[in-house]
Amino acid sequence: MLYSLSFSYHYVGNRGDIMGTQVFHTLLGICAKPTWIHRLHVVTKLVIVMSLSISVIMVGDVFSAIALLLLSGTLLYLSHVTLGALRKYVLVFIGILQLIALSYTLITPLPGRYVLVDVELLRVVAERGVFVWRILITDESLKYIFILGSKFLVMIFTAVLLLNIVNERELIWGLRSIKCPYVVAVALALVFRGISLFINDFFVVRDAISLRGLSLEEASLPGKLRTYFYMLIPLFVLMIRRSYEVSLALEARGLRIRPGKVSTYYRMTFTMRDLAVSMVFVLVPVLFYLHLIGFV
Amino acid sequence: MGKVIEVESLRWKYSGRDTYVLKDVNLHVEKGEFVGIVGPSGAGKTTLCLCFVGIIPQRIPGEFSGCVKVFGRSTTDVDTTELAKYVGLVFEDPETQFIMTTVEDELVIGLEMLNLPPEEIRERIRWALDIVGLPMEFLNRSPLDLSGGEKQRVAIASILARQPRILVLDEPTSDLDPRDKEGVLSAIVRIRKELDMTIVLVTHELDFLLKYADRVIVLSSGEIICEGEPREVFTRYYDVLKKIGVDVPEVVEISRALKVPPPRSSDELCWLVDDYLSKGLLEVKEVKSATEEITQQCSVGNEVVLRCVDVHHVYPPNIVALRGVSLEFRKGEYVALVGPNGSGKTTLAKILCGLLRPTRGDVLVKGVSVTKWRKRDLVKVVNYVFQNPDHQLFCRSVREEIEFGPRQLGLPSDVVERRVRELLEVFGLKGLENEHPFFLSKGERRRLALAATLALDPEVIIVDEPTTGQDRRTSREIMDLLKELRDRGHTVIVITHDIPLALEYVDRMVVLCNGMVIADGVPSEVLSREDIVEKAHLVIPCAMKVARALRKHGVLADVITTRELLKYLKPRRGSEEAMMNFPAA
Repeated sequence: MLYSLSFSYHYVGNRGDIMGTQVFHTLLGICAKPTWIHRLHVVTKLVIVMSLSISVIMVGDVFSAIALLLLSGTLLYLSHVTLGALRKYVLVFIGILQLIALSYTLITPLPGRYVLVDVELLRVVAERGVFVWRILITDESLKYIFILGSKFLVMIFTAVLLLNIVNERELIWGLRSIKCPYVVAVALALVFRGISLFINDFFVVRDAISLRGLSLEEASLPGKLRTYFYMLIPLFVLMIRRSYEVSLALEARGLRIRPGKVSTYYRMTFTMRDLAVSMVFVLVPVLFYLHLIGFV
Repeated sequence: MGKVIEVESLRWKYSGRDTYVLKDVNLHVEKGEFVGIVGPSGAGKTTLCLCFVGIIPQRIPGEFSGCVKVFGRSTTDVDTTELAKYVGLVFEDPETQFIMTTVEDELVIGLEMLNLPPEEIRERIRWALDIVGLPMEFLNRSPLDLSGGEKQRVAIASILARQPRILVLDEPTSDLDPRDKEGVLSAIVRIRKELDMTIVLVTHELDFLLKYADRVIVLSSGEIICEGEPREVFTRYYDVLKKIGVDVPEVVEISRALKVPPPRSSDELCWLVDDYLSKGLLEVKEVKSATEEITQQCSVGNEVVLRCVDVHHVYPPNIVALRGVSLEFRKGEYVALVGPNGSGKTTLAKILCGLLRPTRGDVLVKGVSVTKWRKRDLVKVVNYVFQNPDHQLFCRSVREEIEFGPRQLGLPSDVVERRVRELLEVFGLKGLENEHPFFLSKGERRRLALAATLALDPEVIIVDEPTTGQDRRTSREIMDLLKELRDRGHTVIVITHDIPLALEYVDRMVVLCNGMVIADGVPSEVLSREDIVEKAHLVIPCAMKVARALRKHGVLADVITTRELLKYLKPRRGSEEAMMNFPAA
């Protein structure tokens, strides 16, 4: 009785156990609290992420851009992603937004119904005609800046969502549950393990180099590049040493490329909730497409 | 009993190397036996372990001759993956063994390979964790978030869950604090008792082997120098062991000097010495207090170079590493910074040298806040040597590596040249000037890392675990070098778990526990407080235990090293004859 209870705990627990936010934690240094989204089957989670990514392509007007922004924002909120996780992307987003704004106002200005700013920067009169370079801000250019900016924001939200709700453990066991070869799952596990080790080593090596009088903070741009070059050497050496040691450890544990008959410990089940959520999110890009072609 | 491992005339040379790592090795291990393998660094201990699981010669290229049989089958005929079912190998560094992201997955991955049903996998996981003394709550934790001892126990559990018939452990405790060491080693004893498993343990923990092993094999330069019952090996081959750089256990050292029969443990030694004193076979000499002697050496009046004022540090999201540390370090001090794994020692060291900023409080370097120092100037005053030398070597040759720091600081060529020459000499790297650091041995790489940092001539040098994974001779060489620096007026702070070794050198011990300084003072005073020893996972050296037990005979309790103890105690003249005939304990 005791055994069956603990065993059922194991299976019930597994759905929750495989949650976690290791990649998210490794890359962003933030741990989100697990929610019902985290407890979904990995395939459902990937459907959500894919749905948002495809929908971005289907966005063509301000209404759909706002709708998609709200949808992705809501998902982030529901998966308890803190604002701290997004803070790191603020500068990237501002940079991209500036580029979009410049391209729609300075490089290829869009004519619109209302002209808000029209400043002539350069006029070249030639035999074949007149070339005018101007800053032109119209209602149409603002609209496109907003749509494109929203698309980028949705892409950032989707990436953060992916890192938050899908972890490496889930991916590995998810692959195993869909009968992916054992060796592929282990290789993937090693890649994730390698990433976290590399990030860790990077910071230690950076500190070690700064203690030898070559500080990244105080260096000029060529100096910075030189420092990064120096950093590559220990990182490379550590990678080689570690891969050798890991391969020995794998051998010692009897892991091989063709493992023969291998049992499966985890049983990830696709529940009705997973089915319902997946169907809703399959419909999302369809709806955006129908709206794009004017059907809805 | 039956032989489970048989090695005959084994010779092995790694591809591309000139010398054989193993030379005509002959040994056997009986079923259920506990065999310890000891030897200096580079003796071929790890290579021998790899031969037991068939990784050598099946996976690593090189020249192999002779025969290794496991359960009567040659390791050249059976695939390593098949051999792994019978022989489990635990490596020195648990981190490199972890593949998966949770403890549960780490154990599962080896068991799925055995094609076991999920129910049995679950049972085996539960059983393996129980054997190594870890609760089931650990299953969901990331192996990387565990303490050193917990990591090593997970590594052992992951092998143990496969229920091999032979367990080979390659220095499984080298990186652990004394308490964690004890935890891992008692797990090994438990495994042996409960499962009648054959155990082969490579270790520098000779006290443990003396107490529990059936047999000790001593390897040096790829050859077996001697083997036998531990007490016999450590006493009979005392001089040979010293010569090859292997220290004998402290209890054997003391018993040998006092001419009492070699005991198995420090408790037994206390009893024996007490008995001998009562019988008048030993005499107690009047010596001044060890504390007094050390206090005389201390640099109490010297200038304060580093001062921590209520230093706190919190890692994101909310991991408190330091909680109000206030300390002073003076010029010419040799300080040991000790405490359990995760007590904040490395964090404090990084704050002292400006790599980390305190969340609250301040560090004053020569009276100026560490935040106000330019990095380039600070490295000349306080510097830090990392635990893993591979993190800090990035040049193409040994010479370039040592030159790098001084050149960055713009020192004149003749000064740089002089420093390089001196350091190559002092650190025994002469002749390796043009060698790529990548091809040096670990001991040489560690010395190079130390030399490269010292090339900057910092006033304060903080060294993180300089003796981890090193044999006794190399450890002493490093500690001697640091002592020499102290003698030249540098302040040396050593982070270490090797309390007995540190006690021979340092004149001050700072104990950190849970981010706080719980003791700071002369080592004998610190270790005399049982609450501190308990809290900080420290071990009381054998000599100190004996001295405490002999207080009634007039031996002062502040004795901490064997050398000090032997100043008090001496075999009485003319009693050697009687002692030789005294029955063994």
